[in-house]
Formats: sequence, structure tokens, C-alpha cells
Amino acid sequence: MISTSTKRGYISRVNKFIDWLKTNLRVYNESKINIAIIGAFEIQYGYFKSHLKEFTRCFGSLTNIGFKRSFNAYEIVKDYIPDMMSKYELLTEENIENKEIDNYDFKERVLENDNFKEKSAKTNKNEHKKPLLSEKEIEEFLLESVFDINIK
Amino acid sequence: MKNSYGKTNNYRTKEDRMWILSAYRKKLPQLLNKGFNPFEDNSELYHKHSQKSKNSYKEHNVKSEEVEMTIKGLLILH
Repeated sequence: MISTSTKRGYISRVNKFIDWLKTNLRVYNESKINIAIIGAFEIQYGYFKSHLKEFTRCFGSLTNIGFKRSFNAYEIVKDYIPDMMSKYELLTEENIENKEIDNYDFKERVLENDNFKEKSAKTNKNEHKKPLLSEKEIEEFLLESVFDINIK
Repeated sequence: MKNSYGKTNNYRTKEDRMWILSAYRKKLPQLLNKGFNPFEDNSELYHKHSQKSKNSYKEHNVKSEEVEMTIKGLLILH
């Protein structure tokens, strides 16, 4: 578990880094950088600033108890990297072979999907076929059969 | 009054048969609203309607001819 002071130190460092980026983006990129990107950094800086304030308000009293005050990146990496690595599979030779098989399956699935789409498109075409009888034909039939009128 | 299926039995699929029957079902109330009565002689009413439709067709043709003439005249003037 990372101590509160370490977390606060990390947030403040990130905050300083974003602040530095915000002010120096234009210096290094000159006119190539879009104003929207500078704005995004400004917003991010604001978020971090407010977050840091909130953090110190909630946990500020705990930092005085005697936690380690120095910010150590190694500890953060040690805590978070194993967790991150466990989420992503390491590429071994066996995994690569499996992935090739998966890709083959994927291609087959794509082909099957395409065939299905073609079939469904054909059925849709059948749905929109032209009317079987014209309105005049319908009217003439009804007049002759129901209302006993000799049209011819 | 006997049932009227019309050309429904010329078609094999349910879809086609239903299409024709529903077309008859939609058209029938329209004719009843026009004044046709299955229990009376409708020949006079039919002639009236046919004459009306002929006249409206003639009027439409005359109007379209007039429009055509005016367009031609305008084209000649220009």
C-alpha cells in the first residue's frame, strides 16, 4: 500500500509537469500546435489542481503522522506494474501460434458474416418487389364482383 | 353475398396472397365512401365517376398543353 504522502507527492509532481507543459508548449512547437491542445492541458491542470486540494483536505492530517515524505517512483512502479502486466498476456511462442489460429478463425467468421449479409440483402430485395396488381385492376375487380357493374 | 378472392388464388405464397387481399381490403371502403352500394344498382354512379375522371384527365391535358405552349413561346422570345 502506498502511503498518503507519496500519493500527494505524485499528484503534485504530475501537476507541476502539466503546468510546465502548458506554459512551454507554445515555446517548443511555435505555430504548429493547435490552440485546442493548449486548452486541453489547461483544463487538465485545473483538474489536477482541484484534485490535489481535495486530497490534502481529506488526507492532509494523515501526512503529519510520520509517513515517508520523499516521492519514490520505484515504489509506484513496483506496486502498479505487476498488476498491469497480469492484465496483458505476455507474448510467448505458443501464444503467437494460438493467435494465428484465432486470426484464421476470425477470417472465416468475417467471410461467414459477409455471406449472411448478402443473403439478408437478397431477402430484403424480395421484400421491396413491385406491387402484384395495379390500383386500377383492384378497383375494376371490386366494381365488377361486389357492386355488379359491367365495365367492358 | 359470396366471398371475393379475385386473383388471390393465382399466387402461391402466403405473402403474395396477403398482399392482394389487403389491397382489396383497403380499396373497398374507398369505394363505399364514394357512394357505391353492393345492394343497389350502381351503373349510374359509375358513369358519373367515369365521366368526372375523363373530364379531369382532359382538363389536365389541356393545362399541360397550355403550359407547354407558353414555355415554347418564352423560348422563342429569348
